Amino acid sequence: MANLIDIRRRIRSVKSTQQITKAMKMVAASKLRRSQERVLAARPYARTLEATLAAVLTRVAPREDGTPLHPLLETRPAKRALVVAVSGDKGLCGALNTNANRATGQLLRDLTARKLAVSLVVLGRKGVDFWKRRSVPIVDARPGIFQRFDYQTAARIAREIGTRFTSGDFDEVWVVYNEFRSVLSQVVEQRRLLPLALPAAAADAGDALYEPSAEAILSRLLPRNLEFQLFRVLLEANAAFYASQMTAMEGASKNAAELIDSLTLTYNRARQAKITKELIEIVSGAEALE
Amino acid sequence: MPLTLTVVTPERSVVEGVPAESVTLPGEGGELGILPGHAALVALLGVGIVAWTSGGRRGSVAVRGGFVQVADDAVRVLADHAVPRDAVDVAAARVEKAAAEARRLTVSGSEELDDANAEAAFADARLAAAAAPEKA
Repeated sequence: MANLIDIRRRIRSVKSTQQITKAMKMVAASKLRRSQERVLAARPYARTLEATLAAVLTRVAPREDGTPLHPLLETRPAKRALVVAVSGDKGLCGALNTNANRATGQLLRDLTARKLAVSLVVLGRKGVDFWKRRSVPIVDARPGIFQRFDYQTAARIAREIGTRFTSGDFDEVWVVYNEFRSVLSQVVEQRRLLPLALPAAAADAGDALYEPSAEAILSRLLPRNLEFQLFRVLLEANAAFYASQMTAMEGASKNAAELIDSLTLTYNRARQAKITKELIEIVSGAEALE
Repeated sequence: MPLTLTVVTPERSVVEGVPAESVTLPGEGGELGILPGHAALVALLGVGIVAWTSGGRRGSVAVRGGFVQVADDAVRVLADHAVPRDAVDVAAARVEKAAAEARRLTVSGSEELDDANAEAAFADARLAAAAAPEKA
């Protein structure tokens, strides 16, 4: 039988761990709500942007010499690829960051197998910590980006990436991030950011007026589209992080509760055994005297 | 049938499907007036005020950059920045305006100058939106 005092000490320590995990769960839950609201708040803009882009595309005739309408659409023979790896800033969130890093590694291998030279832009501290110890060149690292980010943050990064793409530094740009499906499910997503894939042109946009011209509007819409896509990636990854952290902390609290239960049981058993032993000692001592 | 006005930014919706009898927008090349039955239109926005009237009341939102799409009497504004009249921080806008105007005198590149100009104009637009009368 374990020492009573030891067991009591362990129960106390597990209890304080449980208090911490419970508190972290509550914090994650409130941050999750805020980040979910931000995801939802970005939806009307996404819808309208897509509709406008589809409408404009119906009006922009492809160039006769076959060159793309905008530098961001240019498809070149791919030699160099840039991967934007998005992970959380903090841990204690289950397998979220590990999954993102593993998926990034897989994508890097796939791109290398296609004979592409790869580089990274790493967003989020956990990813930065992971990738800086490896041999892949890092173009830009932003640890702590999720502490505070707004549209302008995403836009600046997107513009930088866009410039690198149009200047020919990279021929393809990919992004890997955790998408927020629901509180219980976060899925690693990877997709190509550049060259931009265009939505299908709207079937019946009719004859709209374009001010100043469809081409001018398109050349503004496309960079905006890139910025907004990266912004959404950050919003999704942020919400996914808090959802995952909340689930992880809930699991930890539950495990702590189970451990406390079983320790309490052992404690009581040990206590009873001790009492029984003492009784036997008293009784047998009394009998010996008779 | 009245117009339906929506103003959204990447961060949030500022105006959500408000019915309006008329809307004026700061187009990049000059002000655009939209009345019900307007032809489908897509235009670039400059800096200024999106103003609308509905039932004898006026609403206004200061915007900077973006697009507007008009189709089937729905006016959808995709603004880079948008501040509705009630949310204008007059003191902050004054400070920003002064800062932008001071910066305008010292910047070198034309891009920076455009930026400073736009910032000053946006601060102006916010002040104007805050001062706009609520009655039509």
